[in-house]
Amino acid sequence: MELLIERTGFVTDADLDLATRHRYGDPEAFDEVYRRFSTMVYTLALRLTGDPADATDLCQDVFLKIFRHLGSYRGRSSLQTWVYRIAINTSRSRFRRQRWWQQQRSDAERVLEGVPDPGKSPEESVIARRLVRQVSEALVRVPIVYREALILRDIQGFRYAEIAEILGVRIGTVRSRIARGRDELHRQLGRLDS
Amino acid sequence: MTHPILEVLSGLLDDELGADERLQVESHIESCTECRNRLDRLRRVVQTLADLESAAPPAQLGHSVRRAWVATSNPQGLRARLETAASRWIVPAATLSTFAVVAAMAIIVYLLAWGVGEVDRARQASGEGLSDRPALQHGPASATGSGSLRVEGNGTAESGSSSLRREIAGISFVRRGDVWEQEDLEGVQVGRTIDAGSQAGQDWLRSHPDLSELAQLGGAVRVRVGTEILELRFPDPLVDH
Repeated sequence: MELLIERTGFVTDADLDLATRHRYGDPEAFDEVYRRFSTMVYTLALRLTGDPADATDLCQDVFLKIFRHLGSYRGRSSLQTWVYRIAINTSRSRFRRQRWWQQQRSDAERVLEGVPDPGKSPEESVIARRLVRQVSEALVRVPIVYREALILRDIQGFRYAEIAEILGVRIGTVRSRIARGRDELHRQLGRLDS
Repeated sequence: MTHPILEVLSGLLDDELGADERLQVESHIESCTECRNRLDRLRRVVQTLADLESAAPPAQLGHSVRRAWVATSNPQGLRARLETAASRWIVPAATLSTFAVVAAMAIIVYLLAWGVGEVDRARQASGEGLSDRPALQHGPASATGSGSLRVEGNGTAESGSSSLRREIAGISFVRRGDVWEQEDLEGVQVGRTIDAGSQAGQDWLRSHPDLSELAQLGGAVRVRVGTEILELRFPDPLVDH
């Protein structure tokens, strides 16, 4: 997968400048923040929740928190890490409140993801979308502490040290969560195939 | 080399192993079909996830975020902000009653522990207390001993309950259920169990003198030794002597 996001673990002057501009009410700072982080936050939300509607709600919450606190961003971590940390913490709060991991939604309630790829035949598009849905359904059955690490590593492409900073745990913990997450996902994919 | 554990194979895939460890594992995999198959299985899972493309947010998300931000960030939006905050804290009645029951139970446990402390102090004052036991204090029981022992009620998102921590031989251990576990081994499978009370276990500890201090933890102790996750079974220091 080609990463659409330019990743950096370093605080840049642009990060601090963006926070300062937002603090002083620059409306273009708002647009720039959204433009820069909307795809990655939505991707994370979608893979965590497995449902586009829930992901949209979660994204709105995340961005409201980002805008509320961006003025106090002081550059102790990169802006990207800071945003991811907010996204993870917000999703955990919602999970605790709504117990999403206990909801069993029928296939009829799920919306097929994405739009048809013009490069694919209709049959290929249907197969591809079915595969995406199967993987998504298996992924939401992985325990949330493993799922977060798995998404950050295998979908978002972060290194272990970056994931440790985002999740606020040690690197050894990240390593074990990723390994357990992959093992569990393999088991869930096998259950869906059977 | 013994078969590398799951997290080592996973780390190999991610290029997150040290140089020496990577060479050891790669050398082992060349001659071990079982581990090669395990690695291939992990690789397929990684590829499956990597094939999930980034998802563009719906077009209306940007508009709804902007509307919500404008509504909550100006003085006229104060009411909207209060309503949003209030909606976050509306708790279903069932959850409130559950919370009330749990809170009542916690208060009862606290009072019982405080009561035990009072009885013990009275017994000590009358000379009946055990001279070798530490004096209990008001409130929840606490104990001190060698090594650093802290009782934490951190209420993390993962455990949601108090946990014990100790540092022994430079390693941080966390009490999880009946087991003392090296802090970063949560959820990791044990590779081998060693009965520290047996002759073989005693021999093993003699060959690892730096780990003999773990005996003061007592019971089951999980620790990483090299690339192996071991569970050492020690006699309980409070029961077995």
